[in-house]
Amino acid sequence: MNISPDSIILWEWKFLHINATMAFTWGIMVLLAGGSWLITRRLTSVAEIPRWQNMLEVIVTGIRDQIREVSRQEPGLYLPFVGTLFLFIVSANLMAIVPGFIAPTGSLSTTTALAICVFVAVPLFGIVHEGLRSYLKHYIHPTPLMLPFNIIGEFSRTIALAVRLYGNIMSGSIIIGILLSLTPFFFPIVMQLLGLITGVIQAYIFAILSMVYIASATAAQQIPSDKPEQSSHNPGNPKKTNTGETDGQS
Amino acid sequence: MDIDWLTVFAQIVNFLVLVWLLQHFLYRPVIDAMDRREKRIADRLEEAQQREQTATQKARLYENKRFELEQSSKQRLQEAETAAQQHRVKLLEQSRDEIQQQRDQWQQQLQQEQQDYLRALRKNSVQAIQQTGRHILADLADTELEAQIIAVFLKRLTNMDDDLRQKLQNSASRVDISSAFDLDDATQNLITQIIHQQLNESATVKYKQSSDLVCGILLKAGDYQVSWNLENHLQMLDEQLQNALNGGTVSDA
Repeated sequence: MNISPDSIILWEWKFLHINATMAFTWGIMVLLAGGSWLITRRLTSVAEIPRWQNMLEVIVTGIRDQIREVSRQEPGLYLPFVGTLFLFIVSANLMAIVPGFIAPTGSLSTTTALAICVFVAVPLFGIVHEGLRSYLKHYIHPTPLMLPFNIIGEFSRTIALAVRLYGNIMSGSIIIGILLSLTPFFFPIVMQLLGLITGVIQAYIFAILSMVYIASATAAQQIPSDKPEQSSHNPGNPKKTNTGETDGQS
Repeated sequence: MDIDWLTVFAQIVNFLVLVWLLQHFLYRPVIDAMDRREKRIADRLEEAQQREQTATQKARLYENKRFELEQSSKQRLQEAETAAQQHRVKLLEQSRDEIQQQRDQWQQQLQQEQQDYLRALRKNSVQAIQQTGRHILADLADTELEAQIIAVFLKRLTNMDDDLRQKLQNSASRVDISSAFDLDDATQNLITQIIHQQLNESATVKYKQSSDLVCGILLKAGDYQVSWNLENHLQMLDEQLQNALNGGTVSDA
């Protein structure tokens, strides 16, 4: 039983092909961007606002607050990246409830792609914030002996990000598939609901962990009063942050 | 669990495109709108605060003005009351004075009228008594009375004091005798003789009858005279009556 959307090829030409993962991703992109465009083209700044605008503001404000809480920094620079991670994953996971739709996050290719984005984004943000030299010093912190472990940590957490999301979503789909063959009524619905919750939680975890990695890479920019607590953040030890518990639950 | 690297690459591109799209269509517009609204709300709050401050200041100002107005109106009312009181007192005094003046005037007038009336009464009474006396004496006048009058006159002429006699002698070159009744020759001779004895031997004596004398006889020499006349007595009566009536008037007033 293979339910990875990668295996569903829709169009093929030489080595290029378009599979369901890409197609569904485009669908989500159209949905998110189109919906946003429809709502934000008529934004008002009066006291009374349309409820759709209100919903968008709630979402954006919620993401900003989460970023601010995790990173103790202004969310302006990270919002597009982290927010899009969350919105893409959560909408992909929630869309799984639509019959015939296979969540692109259930594909290891997608989760790998997202993890690679995070893998690249973390040093980028770190270098932008602190400069190359200062960022690279993180790898020999606290002693140069830690350098190989820190580098291994960089890769392992990227792989962990990819596999965690993929595993959760894929397993949810597989469990529902198995249950459908065993008990066609009632139980699959419960599992579907559970899948929705898991999907939202995984989206949250993915986005928050990404933010934690980025925050640890930009630790020098943190608010001075929080420095002692935040100084324990380093690229190789994200579990010491305030989201370590969430990470453990996953 | 295989990874399709083409898909991975495509998904990376897709993700980056989605980041751009959402940044363009979602985050930036929404954050801008929120910032605008926040700014607007902040502006409005500030404006409201300023208005409130202005309102508070104005309210305080008006409260002060109202208080001042109240005070001034109270003061003015008090002043007006005082002025009215003073005016009332003044008017009362004025009217009291006027009444007093009018009363005095009226009393004076009344007194004057009383006096005038009494004076007229007196005059009339005296005149009436005088006329009555005159009528009585005129009715009673006869030869015997005339002889008696002449006798009294002659006695008075004979017994006059020395001072008067001396003055008469000095101016007795001409002596006029006036009488109310006609003197016969014997009487005229007797009188002339006594004058010649008492005053001056060479004195010229002239006789005439005068109706002015009610009942009597008068000797006149220069500025001096000797007489017996009922008019004198009537005048004395008049004076006494006047005195009596005046005394009565005074006591009445």
